[in-house]
Amino acid sequence: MKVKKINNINVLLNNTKQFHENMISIVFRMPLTKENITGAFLLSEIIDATNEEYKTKRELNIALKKLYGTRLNVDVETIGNYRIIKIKIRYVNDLVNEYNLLEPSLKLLASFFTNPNIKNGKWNKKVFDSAKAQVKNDIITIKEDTALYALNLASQMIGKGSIFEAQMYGEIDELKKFNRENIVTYFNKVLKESEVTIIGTGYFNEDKYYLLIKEYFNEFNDVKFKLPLVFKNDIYQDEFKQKNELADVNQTRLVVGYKIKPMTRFESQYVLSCLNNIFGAPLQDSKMWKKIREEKGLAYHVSSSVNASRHNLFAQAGIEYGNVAATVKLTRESLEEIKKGDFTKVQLKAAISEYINRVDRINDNISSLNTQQYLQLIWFPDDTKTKKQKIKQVTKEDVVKLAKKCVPDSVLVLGGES
Amino acid sequence: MKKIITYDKVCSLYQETLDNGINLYLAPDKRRNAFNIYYTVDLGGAVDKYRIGKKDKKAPLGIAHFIEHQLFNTPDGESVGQKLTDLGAVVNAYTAHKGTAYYVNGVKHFNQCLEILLDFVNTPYFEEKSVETEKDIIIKELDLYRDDPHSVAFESVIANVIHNHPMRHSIGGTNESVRNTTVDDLYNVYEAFYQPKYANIVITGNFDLEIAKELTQSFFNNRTSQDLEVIPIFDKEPPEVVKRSGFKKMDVITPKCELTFKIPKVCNSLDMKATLNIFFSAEFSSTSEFMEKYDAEIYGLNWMLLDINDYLIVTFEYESDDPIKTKKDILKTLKNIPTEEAFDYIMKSFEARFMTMIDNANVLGESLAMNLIDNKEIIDYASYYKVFTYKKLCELLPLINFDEYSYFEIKPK
Repeated sequence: MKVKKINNINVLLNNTKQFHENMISIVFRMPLTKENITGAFLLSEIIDATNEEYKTKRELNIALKKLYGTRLNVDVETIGNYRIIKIKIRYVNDLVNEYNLLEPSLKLLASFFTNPNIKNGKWNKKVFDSAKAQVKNDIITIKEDTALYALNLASQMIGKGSIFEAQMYGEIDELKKFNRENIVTYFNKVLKESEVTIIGTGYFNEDKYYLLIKEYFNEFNDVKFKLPLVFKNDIYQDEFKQKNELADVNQTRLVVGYKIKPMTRFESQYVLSCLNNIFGAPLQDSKMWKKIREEKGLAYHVSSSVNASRHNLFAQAGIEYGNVAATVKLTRESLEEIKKGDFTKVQLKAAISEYINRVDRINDNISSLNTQQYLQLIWFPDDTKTKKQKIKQVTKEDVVKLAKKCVPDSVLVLGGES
Repeated sequence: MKKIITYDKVCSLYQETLDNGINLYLAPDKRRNAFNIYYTVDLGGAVDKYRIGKKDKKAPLGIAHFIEHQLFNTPDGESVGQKLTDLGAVVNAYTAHKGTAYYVNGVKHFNQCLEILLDFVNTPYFEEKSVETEKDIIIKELDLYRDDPHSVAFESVIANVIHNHPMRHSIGGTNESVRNTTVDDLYNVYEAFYQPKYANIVITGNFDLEIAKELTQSFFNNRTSQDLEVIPIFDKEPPEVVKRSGFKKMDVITPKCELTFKIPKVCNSLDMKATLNIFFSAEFSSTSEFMEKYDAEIYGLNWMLLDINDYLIVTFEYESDDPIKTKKDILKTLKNIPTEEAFDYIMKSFEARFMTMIDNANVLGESLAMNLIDNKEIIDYASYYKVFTYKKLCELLPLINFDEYSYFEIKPK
């Protein structure tokens, strides 16, 4: 993968005629701190809402519509020890019609950093108030999505004693600290202390792409991180600790969390995916699906998920409150069976096929492709072809060995009042 | 096969109706890695009575959804999910008001994936024990929706707007209707509606058109449709709503609101839906004065349109700390006529949306399948919107009557 350094920005480009639109994203990577958890959310609501030219959201959105429905989105996520803000712009490319939207799109993207809607050291009041209200609503309403809330609580339990003990969707107390002035200070800090990357995916005039980035974007600091990407989560316990949170729901949410002892790169990138597929999700011949849903009819929704950069494995189910103990037992049994090698070659083959299918699908989706380019740069350098070769090298022994590294940690039960 | 839509130089949509009445819609695109196969059937959640020839029959609420769950069981005991998973493909299904869709997404083994999909949808195996187990699973699924305040608000407001049409009930039925569903019910309704003439196959992405056609033809070689027509029966629906307002208290922080209009059709459904979509985009999207005013007070405002016989049901949903004020302003804004400038930039963004839709074969497949379920035909929206004029919008909009509406709110406890 070719990386160009322009104005201290890592610039990536994937030129392809596969799509009728182009996607350019600019990514700010910063260390994961309490301030950055909530601050990144607030900033993400503010940065691309307006600029000096388009002072209201409405003006900016009309301008975007006039650019043939050009779209702007912001994502905030956590990868290992880092907080990421990603601003994406998508526009119809020249394969369809020669609208020449590259320059106006890049110019607009750059303007959010070169000409933000700041006057006398304060962010525009209306934009700031609206963003703060939106983030506040997002934080307090997370409880309404019981599946997400339960998983979030379980993540906090498993992250006890670390930064992951914090609420990853932001905290009201942190939010309260921000005002129109210090958000400007925080914005400048993010620009100064982040590693910045621009990723282009689609059909580009390559020379023009690089030239315009040089022309429109300011020089950033050359940030190089010493922090490891993967978060070490190495305090283990012998048994599950259970937390029950009361909620007036028809369906109790159960999350069973395991910590995974240190993994090799091959394990975290390949074997873990196979283990997850055989254990719980998303495959319909997984251990949990068969035991909990098909054999016992205890749940409609059963799945498992992994977070490789945090060394976590979670099993999730929506069940009746009275079935908590039985479901935890079946979940444990599912993993114990994998530890004993009690799964077939066909199941492993299906888990590998699912991975290959997922990798092949990345190339069909401009957004996934754009994200993959970035992940290749910061975390996981293997390209699609290598990934497909390496996943085929996963053996039954590899899965058994990794399953044995899974240590029981947390059981979260959300429900019980109904 | 007949080319019915040209998307670009590489990708077009082809259509053919086989002798037994099933419709094939194929859009091969070798630029993609994956393929998506949809099998849609004209049996949705909104059927509780139907007519075969001259005989009227009743069906338990939620029967379409129950059949959707049960069709994944096969006589050989091997689950469909497992068969397709072993091929690296993903299979799933959903039941909408007007139809059911089964779909497979895969990258390799196209022939086998298509054959398995055709086979399981056309091989019902409803067996007492698994039907009983499935009842528990379905009720748990319904519980899941009952915990979601948005679903509760939507289903409640629809029941307050519609008197007789079965769309007033939850797609999955009630706990009671699920408990009372029998193996015979499943077979009777399946045999009535799961006939090739009431089904469509949509395939998008990387596959060979000729192979897809041959495999489908060969599968349906000896499978005919019955001569008798099967028609869902709907009682006449009065123009008034059932109830003007309602509320429920739930464990929510911000009130969840649904404002739903029952609008008599003043022209064909397509023109009316287009008129409303353009109008709402101009008056309630991020480019509107309305959203500029309410930016910090309303969260997640969106709208959806349901087509039931003589009416369009339009629902606005939003979260607001001052729901009644917001409701009043929505009603006031509905009296507006968009400017020509707003019409122009909205049409530009629609044009771009249609242009880029084929970039994702999954999105294209899903859109075609929904098109068939909702409209019973494929509409070339890109061409349609290209000739839709501002004049037409201004002529149709004043005819649309927003007087009949119902409001439902999920209030914090």
